[in-house]
Amino acid sequence: MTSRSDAFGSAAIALIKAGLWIWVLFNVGMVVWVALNSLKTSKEIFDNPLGVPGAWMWENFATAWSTSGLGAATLNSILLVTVSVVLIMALAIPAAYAVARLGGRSSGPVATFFAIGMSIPFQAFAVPMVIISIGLSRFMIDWITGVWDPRITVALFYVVLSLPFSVFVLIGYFRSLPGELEEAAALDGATPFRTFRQIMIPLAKPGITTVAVLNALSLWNETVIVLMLVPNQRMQTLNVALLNFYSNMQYTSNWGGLFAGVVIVVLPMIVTYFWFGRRIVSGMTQGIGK
Amino acid sequence: MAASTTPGGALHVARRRLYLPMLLPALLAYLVFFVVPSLFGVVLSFGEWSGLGTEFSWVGLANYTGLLTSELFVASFLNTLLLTVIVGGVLFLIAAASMVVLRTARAGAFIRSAIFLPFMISPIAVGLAVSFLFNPEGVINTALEVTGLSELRRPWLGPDLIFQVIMAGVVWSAAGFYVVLVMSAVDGIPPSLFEVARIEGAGPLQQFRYITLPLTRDMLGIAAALWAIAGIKTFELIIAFVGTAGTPPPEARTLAVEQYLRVTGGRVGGLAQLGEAAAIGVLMTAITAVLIVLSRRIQRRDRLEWA
Amino acid sequence: MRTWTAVVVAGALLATGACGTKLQETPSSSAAPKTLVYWGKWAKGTPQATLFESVIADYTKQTGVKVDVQWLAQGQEDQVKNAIATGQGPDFYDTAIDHTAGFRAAGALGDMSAVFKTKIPGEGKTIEEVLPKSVLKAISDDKGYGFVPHSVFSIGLWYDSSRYPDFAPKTFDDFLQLAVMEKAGKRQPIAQDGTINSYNAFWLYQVLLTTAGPGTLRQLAEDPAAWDRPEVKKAVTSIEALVKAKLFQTDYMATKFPAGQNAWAAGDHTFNLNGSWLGSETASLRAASVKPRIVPLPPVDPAKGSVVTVGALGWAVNPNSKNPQAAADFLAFAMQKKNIDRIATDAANIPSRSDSPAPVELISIQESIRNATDVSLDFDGLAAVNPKWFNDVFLPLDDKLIGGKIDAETFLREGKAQTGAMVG
Repeated sequence: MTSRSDAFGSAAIALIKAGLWIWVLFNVGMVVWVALNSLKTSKEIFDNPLGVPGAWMWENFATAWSTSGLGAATLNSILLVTVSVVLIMALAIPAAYAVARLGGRSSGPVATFFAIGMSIPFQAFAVPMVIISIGLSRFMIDWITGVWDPRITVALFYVVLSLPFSVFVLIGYFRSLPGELEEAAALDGATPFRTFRQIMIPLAKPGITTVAVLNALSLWNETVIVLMLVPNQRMQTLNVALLNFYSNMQYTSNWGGLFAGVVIVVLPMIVTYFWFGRRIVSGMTQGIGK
Repeated sequence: MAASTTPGGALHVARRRLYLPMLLPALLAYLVFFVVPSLFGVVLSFGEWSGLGTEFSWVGLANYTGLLTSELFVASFLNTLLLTVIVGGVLFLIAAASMVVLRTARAGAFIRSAIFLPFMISPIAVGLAVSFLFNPEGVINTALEVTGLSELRRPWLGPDLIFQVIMAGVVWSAAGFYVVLVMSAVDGIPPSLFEVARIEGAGPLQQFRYITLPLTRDMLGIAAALWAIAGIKTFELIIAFVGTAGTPPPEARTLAVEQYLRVTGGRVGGLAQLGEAAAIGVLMTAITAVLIVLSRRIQRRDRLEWA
Repeated sequence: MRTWTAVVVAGALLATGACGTKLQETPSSSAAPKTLVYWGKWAKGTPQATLFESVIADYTKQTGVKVDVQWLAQGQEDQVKNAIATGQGPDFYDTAIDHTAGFRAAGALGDMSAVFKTKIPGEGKTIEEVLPKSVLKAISDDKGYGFVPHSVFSIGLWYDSSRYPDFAPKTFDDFLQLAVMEKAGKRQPIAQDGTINSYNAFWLYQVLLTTAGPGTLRQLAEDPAAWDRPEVKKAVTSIEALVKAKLFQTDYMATKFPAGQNAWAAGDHTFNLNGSWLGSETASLRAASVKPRIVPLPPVDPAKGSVVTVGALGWAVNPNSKNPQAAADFLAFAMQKKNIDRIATDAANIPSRSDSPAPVELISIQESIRNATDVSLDFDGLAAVNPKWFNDVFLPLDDKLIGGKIDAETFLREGKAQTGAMVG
């Protein structure tokens, strides 16, 4: 702090800091609370919501894992999210680059056109999505491949529904990159595509990582599309399995198991996030709308 | 910002030639599988339909007039606007406060990560946590009692307070995302600017006022656009708060909740009213489109550049 | 473009190890099918899912016919409707009374009478003959039977029989007096999850049944004049008296479900008006001393005949199924007494068959279902037929009445006005 900083300013800053730390403690406390409850009996969760478990019920995890088919669901989730994110990025990066750095007059409207896609509420899209899904599977089975996997349809809609956000944010990112490097590369005789691939993509890596991680996080939590398009429990995802487990609490009353399920779903995300955390933050740092 | 580097010449032509091949795959996928199917919603909004296998009939503008004359719908409309504006304001204050302190704070990255946490926690976990916090005998009321503030005990989830509690919940879950977003812009400001200001005797609040705020206006515009889109669609957290049984009380309904009630037939096996649901969707898209265009106006003003 | 994207997506999925499977295996329409397809609403691991899986295993062992079961839980209804509407879907599926109208409208439900005439193996009786009349009535609409029921449920007053071994109030007022006495002993007698509006509405609806009979709620939805009926007024004032006596748990309009019913199970409160499912739902949270029992809510006017609310869960057959006979055979197999008995023993619910005993805490209400002179669907089936009035007029007003925000008079006035506005 400077010697002349006003008292009011430092008081305000101390207050803000205290507030942020309380918030942080609260969030960490929530995680610990969920973790502790996943090790309690159902009765104890309600009788003693804040304490440490009396008996550590590790079997909650076994129950949650086996009864709700979380094993297969985990594989499905990982597969769907990975494939979708790869495809989203493969489509969005070139498009965003084109709009941000190659476009002429049409680039402004195209950017707005993508942005408006974010505002279309999902429900407006649900019925046509089901129709397309059924039509697509019939078409493929009858005419092309003879077999179809509804997870492919889910991935298709994951990709198109994520495009508006991804393209919108990446456009902002590419716009913020300095143009001099492109010029230098061109003077060295690089083709525009090579410039894009070898110079601009590496430069944009933090932004690309950010967008990829944000997409992965939201697709990991997606439930509705899978619920509507996948009539096969063996192909459903982790969150759907958890939701089913939750909505059947009235028949099983296994609250401890439910918390264990929540931990199984959330923990990989928290670990991944803190693992990538620095990269996300730094991605944002050089990112979105600098 | 210039869209292409060197106007004219072979290079320019080569770059222009790359434009369509790079843009088209995404644009076509978006158009064919997203925009066109969504237009189906517009068509549907002029009819009455309960889903595949049921009969469809045209009703003209009846869905729209029915909605706009329904008191409950108008109330949910006002709820949505109220929520978007109030929560948006609070989010801005939190983002601004973070901009003042987080740049220099120790463990700043950790604080950002921890605040970001709710963004990735499933609504089910949030719903469970709510019951333990806000229940009449929950942690908040118990804590108030223990600290001698029992007059502040409230039935938090009752009809009088539920909407305020939901708004607090939305702030809690969304703030991390926006803090991380605007902080990325703050981190992009050259530290030397703050250095100079400090030497010239500017306090942290003045630094914020004269350096941080003007130089992050772009990002604030983007954040505002993203919030407008998300705010109008607020839905999941309300369901997490109100629970998976029963229907949300009128006090806690937003446009998206009203739409959901019609899509699911009120969750009790009733016939879906897809026509009205589609009409709500069209109205929501229209409102958001206006907000997006407005927020792009903010961004398009003169950029402030630093040397 | 469509094929192009599809091929890319398909290739990517296949490359990462997904195995493509046929979306729908439709067995040939020859006489003896090898496989029946069943789409269930239960989640895997629930007592019902486990029970039905074991019935299916028995059936396959005896007949060689496989049943491919998919436990779809959430979203099952939409999946079934969409698939059947496009000529696909299961041979039979889980449903409930609330869903009959929706499945009918979507063309997913046909004539079930042949199924009901199927003989149950080893018993010499048809499915129709082993079910109580009240249940048969409840599962029918104007087009006939909606599904083959395996479980039934009802709405009634749960109480702790360790506190009241001889609990048998004759009238609603007797019950109120008992509750008031309990309150005088510094104990809030009634647990209520007031944030679940349909649970709040159980009170008015069950009382309406005893003053004006079934079908009244439907009249209230369709005819503003019905709000002036004296029986309606009597029911609403009875609820007003209940609210004014302040018998519900503290801050009941703000409990986060299932906190209220859990508090009841823990023995903090004596009563809870709820479905017959409440016992099994709260079993793991019950205090050792609590002995739950359920009875029909005592009537306001005991002179009127006994009416009981009946709900049911069961199986419906896809009208476009290529194996209708095989599906009927399987359902008849599943309806054997030894199987349906297990609804009580394995799943703690009321079995549909007249001769299958309910779990001990549900015996009284099962008795009422068997002997009922008249049945009512939950909320007159209105939630399914007229969800708009139910959700936008009735439930919000009822919440205000139960929450003590408005009195009986205002409730009736507002209800009449809003219904009038909606009917137009």
